[in-house]
Amino acid sequence: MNNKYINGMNEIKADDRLKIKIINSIKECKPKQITHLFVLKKTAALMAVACTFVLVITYGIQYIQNKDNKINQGQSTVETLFPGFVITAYAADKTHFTIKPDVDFPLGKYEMTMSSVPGFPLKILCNGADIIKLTVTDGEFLLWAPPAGKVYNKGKELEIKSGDTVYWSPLKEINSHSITSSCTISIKAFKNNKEQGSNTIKIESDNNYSYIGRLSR
Amino acid sequence: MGIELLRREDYISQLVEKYSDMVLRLALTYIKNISDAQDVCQDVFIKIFQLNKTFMDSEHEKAWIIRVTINACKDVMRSQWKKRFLSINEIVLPVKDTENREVVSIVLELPLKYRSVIHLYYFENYSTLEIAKLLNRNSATVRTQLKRAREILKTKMIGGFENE
Repeated sequence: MNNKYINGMNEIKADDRLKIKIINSIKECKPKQITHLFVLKKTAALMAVACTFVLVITYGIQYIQNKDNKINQGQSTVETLFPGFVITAYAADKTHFTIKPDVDFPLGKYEMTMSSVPGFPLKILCNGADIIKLTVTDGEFLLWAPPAGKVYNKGKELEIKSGDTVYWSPLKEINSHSITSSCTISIKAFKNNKEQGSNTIKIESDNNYSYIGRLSR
Repeated sequence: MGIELLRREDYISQLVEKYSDMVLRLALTYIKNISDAQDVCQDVFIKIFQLNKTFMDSEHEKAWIIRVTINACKDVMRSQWKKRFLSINEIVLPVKDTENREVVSIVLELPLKYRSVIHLYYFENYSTLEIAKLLNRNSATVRTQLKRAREILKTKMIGGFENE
């Protein structure tokens, strides 16, 4: 049977007309130009690939850098919005509330003659933290244990433990009558001397010494 | 340069004379359409002319032309239109003898992987190892495909494909 296949296939031939057509089309081709064009196309393609590569590398690096920056910014944001803290503020009317990010909270009006508390109280909880470091740009921190009644001036830096209540006084200096209108309190949690996270509270007052705090980003 | 060009044209004309039948048959085996096979035939020789390749010997030359033909056929078959066209059209063969035409038709109805192997083995007299190199397949695969093709043909032809 394969003889029949071979015989059948042998009948299939390129006739003279096809051969002449092929030869004529080859003669119409200008090999030099074609070769030149081919080389040009190849060079153009290579250049395009090289340009694309350079662009990809350039923009890719920028993209990666931007991404890294965003990630770093994200990390700082995470640090700023460290969720480990539970900060409780006490208003002048003695109501207390947990501070939420980017929400103003009233601390009340400060008066030199405040008798009930020495400053604005903030209770800071951070589970898992060995120590909580506080710094304030203005005013000072105070510690006060109500039964004893003694107030300890702690200055602008203070280390407390989770659950401690710290008081911030807008008085600029000890025994000074000058009152600050704004400050930023930085709160950082540490565990085994390694920073776990941080938050910032900005406190501002109006002309009547009514203070408003804001856990800021 | 003119003499060189004339020499090349003359050389390609010789190649056309020597290999155009082979290219046409192989293209027909792949594409199953004589008109497209003729187009492939023309493209193959233009490509050979443009590439201006030199060969070690006539076997190398033949094998290279076969590979160029197969690649050209694959390009044609990649066209979605051709795929559709090939699938719905009956194969029209320029073979006068009825029995011969029938056998060729049956072979061309085989799946491509089988009919290409059958053609190269029985018509071009290549060994399975040579076919494996030409088609870039494993030689064991080619042997299996050849066996399977024979089995299929046996079911379609009384006495099978092998000569008695």
